[in-house]
Amino acid sequence: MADKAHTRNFSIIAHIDHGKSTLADRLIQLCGIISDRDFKDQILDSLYLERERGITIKSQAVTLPYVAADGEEYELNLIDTPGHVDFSYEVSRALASCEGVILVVDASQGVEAQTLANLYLALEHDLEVVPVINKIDLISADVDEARRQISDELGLDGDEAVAVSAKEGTNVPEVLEAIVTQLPPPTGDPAALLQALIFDAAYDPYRGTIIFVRVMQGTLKAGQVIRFMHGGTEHKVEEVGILQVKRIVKKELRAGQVGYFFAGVKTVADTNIGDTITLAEEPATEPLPGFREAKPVVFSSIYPVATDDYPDLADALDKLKLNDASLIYQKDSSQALGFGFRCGFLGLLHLEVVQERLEREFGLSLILTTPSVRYQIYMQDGDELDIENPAYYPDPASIDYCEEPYVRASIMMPERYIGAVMPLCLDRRGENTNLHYPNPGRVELSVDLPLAEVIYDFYDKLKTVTQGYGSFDYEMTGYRRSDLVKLDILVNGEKVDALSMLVHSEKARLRALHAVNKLKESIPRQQFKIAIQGAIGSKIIARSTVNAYRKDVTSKCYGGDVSRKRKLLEKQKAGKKRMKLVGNVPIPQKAFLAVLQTDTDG
Amino acid sequence: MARSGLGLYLHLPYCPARCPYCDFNAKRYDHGEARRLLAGLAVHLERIVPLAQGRPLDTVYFGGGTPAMLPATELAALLARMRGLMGFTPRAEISLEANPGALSRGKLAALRSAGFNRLSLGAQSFDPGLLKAIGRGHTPDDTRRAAAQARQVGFGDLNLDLIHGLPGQSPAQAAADIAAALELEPKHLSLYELTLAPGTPFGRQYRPGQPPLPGDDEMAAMEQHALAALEAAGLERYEVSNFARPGMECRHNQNTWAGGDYLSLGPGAHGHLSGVRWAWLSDPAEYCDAMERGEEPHAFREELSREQRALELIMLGLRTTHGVELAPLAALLGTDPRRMYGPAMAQLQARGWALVRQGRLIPTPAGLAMADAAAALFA
Ligand SMILES: Nc1nc2c(ncn2[C@@H]2O[C@H](COP(=O)(O)OP(=O)(O)O)[C@@H](O)[C@H]2O)c(=O)[nH]1
Ligand code: SF4
Ligand SMILES: [Mg+2]
Repeated sequence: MADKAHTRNFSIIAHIDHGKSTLADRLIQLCGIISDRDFKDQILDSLYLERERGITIKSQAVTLPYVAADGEEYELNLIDTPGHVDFSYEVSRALASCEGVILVVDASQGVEAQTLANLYLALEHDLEVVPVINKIDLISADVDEARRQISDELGLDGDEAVAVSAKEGTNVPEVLEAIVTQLPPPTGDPAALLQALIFDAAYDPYRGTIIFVRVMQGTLKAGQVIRFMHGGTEHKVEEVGILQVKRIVKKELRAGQVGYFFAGVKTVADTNIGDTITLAEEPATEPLPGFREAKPVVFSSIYPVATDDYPDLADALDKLKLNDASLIYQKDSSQALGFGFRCGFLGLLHLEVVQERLEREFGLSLILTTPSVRYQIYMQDGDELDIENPAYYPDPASIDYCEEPYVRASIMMPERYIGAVMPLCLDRRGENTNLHYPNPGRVELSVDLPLAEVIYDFYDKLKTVTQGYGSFDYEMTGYRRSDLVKLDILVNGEKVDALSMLVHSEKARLRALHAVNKLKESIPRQQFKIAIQGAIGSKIIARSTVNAYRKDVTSKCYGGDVSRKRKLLEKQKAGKKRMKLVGNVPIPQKAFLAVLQTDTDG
Repeated sequence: MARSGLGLYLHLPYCPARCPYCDFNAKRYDHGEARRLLAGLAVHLERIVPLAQGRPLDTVYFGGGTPAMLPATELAALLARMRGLMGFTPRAEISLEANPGALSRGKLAALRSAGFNRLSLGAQSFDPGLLKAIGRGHTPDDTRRAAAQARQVGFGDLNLDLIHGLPGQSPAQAAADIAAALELEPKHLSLYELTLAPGTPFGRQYRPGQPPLPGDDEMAAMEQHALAALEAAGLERYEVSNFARPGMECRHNQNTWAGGDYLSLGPGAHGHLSGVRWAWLSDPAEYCDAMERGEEPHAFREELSREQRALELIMLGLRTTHGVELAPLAALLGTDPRRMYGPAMAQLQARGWALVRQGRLIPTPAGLAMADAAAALFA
């Protein structure tokens, strides 16, 4: 087993599509841990237990044995990370497990928004950065320009950067050599008290939870009784090993190494990413820094379109939870939608991923209510409530004041976009803006934003106004006083409870208009007029009308139309069952979804 | 159930050009393919004879497409072969669809003497600008000439097709169209509202009720005027879109709406025999391939349950002023339909959409305007 001097722990970072996965494929192939027959493209991605829309959620590790030019054998641990702000904490834990990163830059595209954002993340963790220029086989490749940008815009040594074609394998061995020569070996003492960082965990139906760790100090072995320093639980280690696409059992993992272990931990929810493992008998004095409990910040209720599917939904959530500690849920119910679950998520992306998995893997057809943050409500009588579900919003007359969560957002972008981003932030009730110029031409905007605005559609809007060049990160900062109202949506005078939302009073009218207009577009006409209203208490602040049919009859129906027309009737009948009735108005699923869509200016 | 007359629908999918609103099984005329299809039809006709079980044809309908585009000799030969193989009832109704532009006096005479006795002309509008806007190749005068010549050669039973709700059409223009049509004294008139079919140029170009299409109020005005004008001219409404002098209704279609039997021939043609519905392959080449390989060119074939048949009878009957006959429905279901559809029938009457009278469920004018919603109550 490699000693520290012969170990390197690194991650690959890049702007999307610059070739991170392809380079990883080549490195894995070069090190020969998998036969060509078993190899498939984007192999790391294919190993992820959760992979949705190209966004990797779980971090992955792979140990690459490598004999360097100096004739020595090295153990290179590649730790692959997810790439979205919802999971920035997970990324930070993965990076905390490394000493360095390979920063891939596409030779035809040059430095792009996420190149910079990722570089900053790496620098925050004091990591050594080795730039690699990729796709030199492309006709449009401009290696010299890429070198210049790496030097001028990133402040790295562009002239020495290895230039490769990950696709064709050109110069990839030099990347391995650069990892050995340019990245520092890990520090840490195998004889010290054990401190190992959990950077991920995944559910294995046969073995319980597989926990991925970087050992910082001491040695982790099978048979030891370990303690989760934050979680407080103790477990006996059953197996330790390294990952070479397959699991390879080892006797121990020593300070500086990356690997996995099993310790009879039942579900992923029993572990915390970022937690420190130590020995129960001889614990370290302190956990490793940087731990944060994964707390849900976005809440939404999920209902099955067909009420009969409720047990299936319950079952599906239980299964997802096995592998997704950050998903929380509890029973909920609505007059309009029946039984469902109130769920908490790390962010909107997390919500979308869960929704997609429920729909795709479990075949469920769902309605989700408008995502909400958690508000703190201070009552006249001195009581204090945490409310994230509009259904529990108390009588406004009994409320003294409310507070809503804020984040400190950091937006990195080329200077030319600041004129568009600033008004966006102000429109989203941003405060305390602060500009910082890390390099010429680049600007970092720090701003306090209400989380509610961030989860609405801030990220999409930012992407649009910066043409993809804006990178965005945030951290929760705390609660501030806010002017909160509950917006209700009424259809023919009946409240659709599932569409109620808590919003800032300044935004209420806009949101109400959005909702009533979306409903108008998606509620099918009936034989009677349908009034749709947005209201705060008894005050109507927005309205729209779905007009009654003048007629409802197909012009032509001859011999060739009979079958189709009958089938349509039969289909409508099935569709009717899937519609939710509010009063006597059938509301299709797509109406709920349309209201949820956040294209306020669309 | 008493057996009504047997129909036969023949589909000929060729047109001079494709109209931008059309979603029928129609295509631009292709001479080589048309020849091949005619040969295929001759073969297929012989193969469907057993389906008639010896019954003579009471109605024959040459539809399309624009069947009259094909040479009169070919159309006459097909009809003669049908007569020879299956026989016609004494009063058989033999209809032919035609575009005013595709006809000459000589051709009309030949068709009439071949045995066609009902001619349906796709007039669509009498406004030259509107005709152009909807991509029709004929002029209002073509229609007038064709109608006059048809009458001269003995087509007493003439139908005109009109479309309301065309792009840019005003209620006044629509009224003028009705008046112009009535001047030709047709015995039958079909009046359609423009339907925006997805996948057609119009379907992509226009939104219902949005300019340049007439709005809801204008459509209502057009319809109101048309109903009054047609009635005043002695053309009685007998189906949602069909008007005729008493006794001049299209029996072929009436048979369809009453759940009767009809055979089918040609690409995409649908047929029905006592609860079995089918259609032939709609692509002419595939249809011919199947024919040449000696295969049945089925696109689909389904045997309906009693409930499905009943639903069809209701759906179709509620579109006609005759209404839904309750006795055949009861025979089909083996129970009183009033028991089976109690709530739906009560709703219909409560909404003023239909009355039960003379053993029939008869739609009111308001009910005809809501026929789809009315049928949905029974699904
Ligand atoms: N021509 C060329 N294409 C490459 C190279 N490396 C990656 N690609 C392609 O670029 C696209 C994005 O690569 P991928 O590795 O998935 O990028 P990632 O998003 O950074 O993981 C894929 O279509 C790759 O095949 C390269 O060296 N040359
Ligand atoms: S003539 Fe009739 S069938 Fe032919 S394309 Fe025009 S509308 Fe369609
Ligand atoms: Mg990738």
